[in-house]
Amino acid sequence: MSAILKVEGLGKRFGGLAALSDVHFEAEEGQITGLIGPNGAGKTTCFNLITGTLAASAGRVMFRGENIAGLPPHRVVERGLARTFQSATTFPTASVRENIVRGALLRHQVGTLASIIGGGSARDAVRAAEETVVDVMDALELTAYADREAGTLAYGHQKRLGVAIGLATRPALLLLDEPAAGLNPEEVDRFGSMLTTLQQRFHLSVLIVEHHMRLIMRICDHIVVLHHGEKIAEGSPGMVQKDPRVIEAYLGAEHHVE
Amino acid sequence: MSDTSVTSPPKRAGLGSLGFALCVALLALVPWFTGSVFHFHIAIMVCLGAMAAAGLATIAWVGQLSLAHGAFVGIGAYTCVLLVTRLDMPFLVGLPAAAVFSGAVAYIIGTPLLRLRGVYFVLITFALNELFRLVMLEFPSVSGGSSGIAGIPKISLFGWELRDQSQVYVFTLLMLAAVMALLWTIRRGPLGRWFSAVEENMALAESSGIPTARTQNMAFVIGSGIAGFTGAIMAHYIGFISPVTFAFQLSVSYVIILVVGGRLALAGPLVGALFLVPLPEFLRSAQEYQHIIYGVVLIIVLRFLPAGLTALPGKLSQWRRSGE
Repeated sequence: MSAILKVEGLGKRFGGLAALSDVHFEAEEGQITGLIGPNGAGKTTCFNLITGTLAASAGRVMFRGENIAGLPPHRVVERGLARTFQSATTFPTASVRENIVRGALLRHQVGTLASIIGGGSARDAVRAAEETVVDVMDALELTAYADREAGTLAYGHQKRLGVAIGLATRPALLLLDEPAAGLNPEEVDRFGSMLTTLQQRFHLSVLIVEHHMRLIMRICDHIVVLHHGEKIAEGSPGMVQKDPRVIEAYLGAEHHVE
Repeated sequence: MSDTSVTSPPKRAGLGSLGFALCVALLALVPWFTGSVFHFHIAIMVCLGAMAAAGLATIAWVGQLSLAHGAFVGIGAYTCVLLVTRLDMPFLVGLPAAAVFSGAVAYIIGTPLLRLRGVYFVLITFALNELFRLVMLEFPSVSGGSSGIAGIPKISLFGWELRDQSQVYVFTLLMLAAVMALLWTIRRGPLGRWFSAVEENMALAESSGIPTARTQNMAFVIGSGIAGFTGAIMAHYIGFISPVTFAFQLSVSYVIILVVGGRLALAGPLVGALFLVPLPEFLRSAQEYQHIIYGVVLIIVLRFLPAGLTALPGKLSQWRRSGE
């Protein structure tokens, strides 16, 4: 087993405020790694630093042996690290199929000139992207909604579409930012099973930020706990649950840590 | 809600666009039926208006509104006219050069400016349009100053001069068709997908691997290149240009054409130009009310048809259905 992602001494300051300081952790290839912590712990900041949405103040992000810190987001995705957003983020006026095509085009690029004046290579690219989409829609159970306008879907479906767009870029590592937030318990359970299926079907490694402890404890192989911008614990779900520092950080806040 | 409720519209849309194409073709033939030089002139101006607005639509496609579009028409016009009159180049060299040069200017200023979005981009392009006019007035040896450049030779293709308005009209119509074909190709291909993605959700587009900054700049370059292309034809048709021709008012008129026609539809610029370019000609008798009428039209469209006149058929059937 080897680490697909190594976060080394990652830090971010907003003026005088240290949102994240000296965070180290690894995500193993083929596993689901959870990133948890109370509100304001720096989880989303950490995500934004890894994906290039924010520039890190310190540290390195090693993805498959290459430092990707400082790359713009589209370059990070190109290297095989895709993300989803906390809220349901889609292209609201496009169809579900079109939404996913836009992600899939990353792996089917054409030259500048061909993209302007068209021609065979541009047509082939779109066709190839559309083929990828069929697979992804099937995996996320969105096929029935293929021609629906994304903005008209139910919230849970929109969140799934967000995952589908990320998946269409054919990532090796998928970062999910609170995929279960706003879902009802039944949907959360379904999402959990869907994710484990996806992981095997698309040979994914997953890094997931989530507040829903039951989901995290069920699906994660490894968990990293952040608190006040620092890592306070990591280990298997069983170990993390028993860690006194984690219990202290969560005390009173999260009753469903059993 | 049933999942299969969305299968019928495409067929109707296909019929609709066929009908629309037929209407446009008939309208395009009107000047030949009447044989009036005046009608040919209006038809040429409609084509030029639609062409420039199509350029603006390309920029709007990535969610940006340029108020410097008139200046880019001007850059193209001056490029072509100076190449033809000063360097004795043929028009057919000047025309593509105008598009390329306008596009190149757009590329250079777009790289820093497109970081701004929304109203900030609108304001900076507004300032740039004024800057273009003032700078051109400062260099009368190039621009002809406030008296402009008159007596610009007519459009000539391989030594064949287009003397008649009807000939210019055929040429302009073909060029408009070429521009529309280009936009249609982009729309169907990967680049159009990128443009729409950037317009709809910039953060998601970037996270889906779309280089949003480069994509926006590409739209700006293509759109401004089309503006320059239009400017070259316009200059050689009208025969006179001055910095004032390409002042702020021209930019605003393109924005109005685009908004009234429909910002996101391929046919939007064409519909807008068909409706708005002839309007002042038929309102000659009420010239003092012209701007008021423009304003009222704009307000009505924005209030009832925010997607422009191209959305009218869809709206009508929607109203009819809800009335049933």
